[in-house]
Amino acid sequence: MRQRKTGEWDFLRLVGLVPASVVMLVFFVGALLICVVQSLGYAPQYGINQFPTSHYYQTFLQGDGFWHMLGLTFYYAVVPTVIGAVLSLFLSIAFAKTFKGRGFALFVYKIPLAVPYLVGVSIVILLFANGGLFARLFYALGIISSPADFPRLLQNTEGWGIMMVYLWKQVPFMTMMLYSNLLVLGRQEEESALLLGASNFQIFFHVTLPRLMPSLVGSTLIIFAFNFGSFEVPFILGAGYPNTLTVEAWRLFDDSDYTRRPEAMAIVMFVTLISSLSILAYLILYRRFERKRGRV
Amino acid sequence: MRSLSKLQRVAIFFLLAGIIGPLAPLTVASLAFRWGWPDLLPSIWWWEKREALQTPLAWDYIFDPVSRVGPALQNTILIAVSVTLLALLISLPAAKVLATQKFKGKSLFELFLAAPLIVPEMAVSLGMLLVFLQFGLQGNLGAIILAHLVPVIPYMVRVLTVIYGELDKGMLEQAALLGASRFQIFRHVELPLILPGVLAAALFSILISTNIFLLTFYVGQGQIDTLATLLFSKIRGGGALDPVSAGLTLVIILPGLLFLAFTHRTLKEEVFSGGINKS
Amino acid sequence: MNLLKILISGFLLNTVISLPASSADKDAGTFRSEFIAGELSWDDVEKRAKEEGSINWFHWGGSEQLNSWIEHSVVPKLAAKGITLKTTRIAGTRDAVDLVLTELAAGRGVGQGSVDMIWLNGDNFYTLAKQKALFGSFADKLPNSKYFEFEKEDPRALLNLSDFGTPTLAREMPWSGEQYICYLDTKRLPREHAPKDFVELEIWLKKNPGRFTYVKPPHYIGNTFVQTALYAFNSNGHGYKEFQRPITSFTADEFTKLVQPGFEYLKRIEPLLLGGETPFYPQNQSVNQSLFNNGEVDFGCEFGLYLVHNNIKTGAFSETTETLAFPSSGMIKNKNFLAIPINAPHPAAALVFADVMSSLDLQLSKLKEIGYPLGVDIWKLSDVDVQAAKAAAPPLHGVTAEELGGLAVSDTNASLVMVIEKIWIDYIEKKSSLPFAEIVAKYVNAS
Repeated sequence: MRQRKTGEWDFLRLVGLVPASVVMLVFFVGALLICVVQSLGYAPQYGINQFPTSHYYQTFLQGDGFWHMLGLTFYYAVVPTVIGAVLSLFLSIAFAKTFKGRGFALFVYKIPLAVPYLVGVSIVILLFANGGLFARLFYALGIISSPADFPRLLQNTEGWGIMMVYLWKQVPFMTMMLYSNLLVLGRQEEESALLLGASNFQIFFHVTLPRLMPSLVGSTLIIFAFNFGSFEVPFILGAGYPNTLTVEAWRLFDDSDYTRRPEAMAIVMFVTLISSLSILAYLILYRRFERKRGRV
Repeated sequence: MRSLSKLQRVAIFFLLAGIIGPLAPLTVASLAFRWGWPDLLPSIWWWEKREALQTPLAWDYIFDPVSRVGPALQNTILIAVSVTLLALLISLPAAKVLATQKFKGKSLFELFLAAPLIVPEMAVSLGMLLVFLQFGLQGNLGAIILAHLVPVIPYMVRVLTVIYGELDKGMLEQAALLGASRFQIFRHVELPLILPGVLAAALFSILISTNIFLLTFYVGQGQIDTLATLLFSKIRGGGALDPVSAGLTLVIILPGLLFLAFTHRTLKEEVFSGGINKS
Repeated sequence: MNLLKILISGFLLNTVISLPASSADKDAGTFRSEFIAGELSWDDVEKRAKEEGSINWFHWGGSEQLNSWIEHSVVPKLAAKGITLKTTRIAGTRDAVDLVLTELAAGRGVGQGSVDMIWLNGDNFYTLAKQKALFGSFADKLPNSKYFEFEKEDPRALLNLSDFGTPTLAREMPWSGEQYICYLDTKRLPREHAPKDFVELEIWLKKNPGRFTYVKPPHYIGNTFVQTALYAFNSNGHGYKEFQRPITSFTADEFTKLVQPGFEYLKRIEPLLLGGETPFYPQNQSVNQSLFNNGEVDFGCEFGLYLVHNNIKTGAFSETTETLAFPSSGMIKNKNFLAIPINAPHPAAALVFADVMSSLDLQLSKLKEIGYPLGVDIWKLSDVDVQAAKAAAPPLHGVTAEELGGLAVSDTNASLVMVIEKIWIDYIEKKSSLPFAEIVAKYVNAS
């Protein structure tokens, strides 16, 4: 990064990047480096000094339940991302139209953006627990005779509660991303397609979707990455065990045995790695898809 | 064509109902004393028992200084505002460079700045805790503010870069030709031009900061309460929502709602197009 | 790249340097050694406490009743002694223990920490004791220590002398007590139909499949249920006695023999628990209580002598809920404590605080107002005070104090708890295919 290139490199010109770089280096890169170093066995504060060792990675990679937890982590991350993307596409196109109460709708849909995920957790507990409001409604209507008959949506590995919270928070986020993009792109292309006699269906798949693709990929990326490493939602609404890898990392970091902390660090770094690799794979696939489409 | 199809109508209805709907049962739950299965409404309300007990219940507890909801609200706002100001100071120069200059490794640098968006919060939080432990700053309000910079700056820089990109450079050059000093140019020409965008970025940063839980929880080490950490310690068990938890949930929604109502016009969707979408 | 290198080495260096060098505040150090040696009068302590002026108490802050009581009853008592009580409400006691150990590792020694007092017991005390992070023997030197039984010869003193098998050595003051109890709703399950021990539980479950479950280990509520079952099926017939020994005193074979019948019982009843083929173990007592309130299970178990009373009071339980003395083979009872870390910045104020907290005045008001059992020992009180304590005690709802007291047994040694929870997770939760003896051997040999 430091080499000079014939006059091109005028440092003063770029001095504005310094504050942001310093903050990111110290608090972001620094934080990650500490995680890496600890996960490799350097944690003298807990009496561990085996640097470098892959012992902590091996311990959890070979431990019981690793594959199950990895699978759950992917499952809780991917399913709501896909469902959310479809819903958001649909909603953002609807928002771009004119309708009665549009101003109100455009205000209300942003509320989940303004509150923490924990608010979603509260709501899901209130409504979808086995003794929750929906179970009571079903009981009142005579559909179920006891709370045990209501499908268990929370605190088990199926994770319906977790995914509902994600959708509650993230559909508005993705809708906002896509809708704002629609606003900027304008409607000329769609309208000329319409004049040429294209059906709504054709317009969506041949005009709107391709133009929204970059922001769809961008927002699903952010959402996937977030879900993959999210903690508080699976912690409260998931099964005690097995749960996601981040919850497992929390458990190990919180263990009364401090020597398990490097293993927690190893899990966290592993999650970071897998998350980044998944995103990379996703981007490569997307690029390839775009290139193919370009050629056709 | 420009009017909604039936399906779209239904979808929007469900979206809005899913967002506003829960407010009603939350309010009821916050006013309940006993709300057992299978009652659709509480069998005993809070106000019926209010006088009979020495310890404050439900809203009495939330409004009692004992609950520390007040300081938590104060911390939440203080952190959000400080993070935003600090992030603006740091992000504005960076965004200006990124929007106006070309240099080798620029896209790499942009990727570096975007990295916090894809690295799990847990990794950043644990690492950050250890960074602050080195300096003995855990459980410190300042440390939390510094920690929040990491998730805020990537968004901020992106939004501001777009705004600088759209800036009319001609006007700045004209001002320079007319002999204005750098500060004068910034104060009288540049600032008014970018102000709307800066405001939107600032508001968005406040949203991000008030949404953060895990980072605050780890770096704060239980010693600094924000609304999010208070709610977490109430509902971490995952059992039925008690009146205080329900009330606290409402207390968190309310500032968010007010904030949106006041900033609705500034927080226009258009600002984010390109800003965050460009990935 | 260079910058990164500097950064990394900077952090690493920092850790290395800060590790061993624990400095100490000389003044606080003198105070500590003089107090422990018994050279200071209580007046000296109170005088110094007033100069220190404040105390930082870290306590679990999840109960509104407790928080209110502290604010309205404890704060004024300390203010009268010229001390400001600052409380930090933590979600888990581990946070406070972490903070103390981190500060010690960062070189903040005697008098230089930020925690004056922690409410704890069990493995958190064990951790602090093991790391030599405790202030020292103080509980027997307070004016109010007269209310505690510290005589080793008296078997009743065990609850004060041993905390999950770790000798307390007066390094923590018994502040409150707890007993593992069960609760049932007499409207749904009449008391006479409720099981009284584990054998009856199995019979009852066969008649009422799915109507009971217990909290999942490694949560301490779940651990305690499992321990109670292991006591009941102790192959030596000694109940809780063998479980007081540390894990190092067992061979893997011995331990297998001791716990196998209990674990086999838990395995046997699993298909009869809530959820049947896919058993549902709640993560913690809060989820378990909602299962009970919704009528999904007929009774639940957790720590809380006055839990039924407290929860009826706040509306969480219905008025027909009662306490159940289960199992008759022995219900675990323990105490929880206040401990001072070695680097407490206000040690004298912490001592005064401990004394105030063990005063009869606050002990009785704690019992009466928030239903936290006495930490002081009832037989050390005068007749008048005993009467006052009896009058202050909230109702037990359906059982008598004598009945519960008669069934009380000691908690399991902390080192065994860690092994037992791991065996449960492998054998029951993960349905490990290994033979039981091998699972046990894996964990016994590792400790």
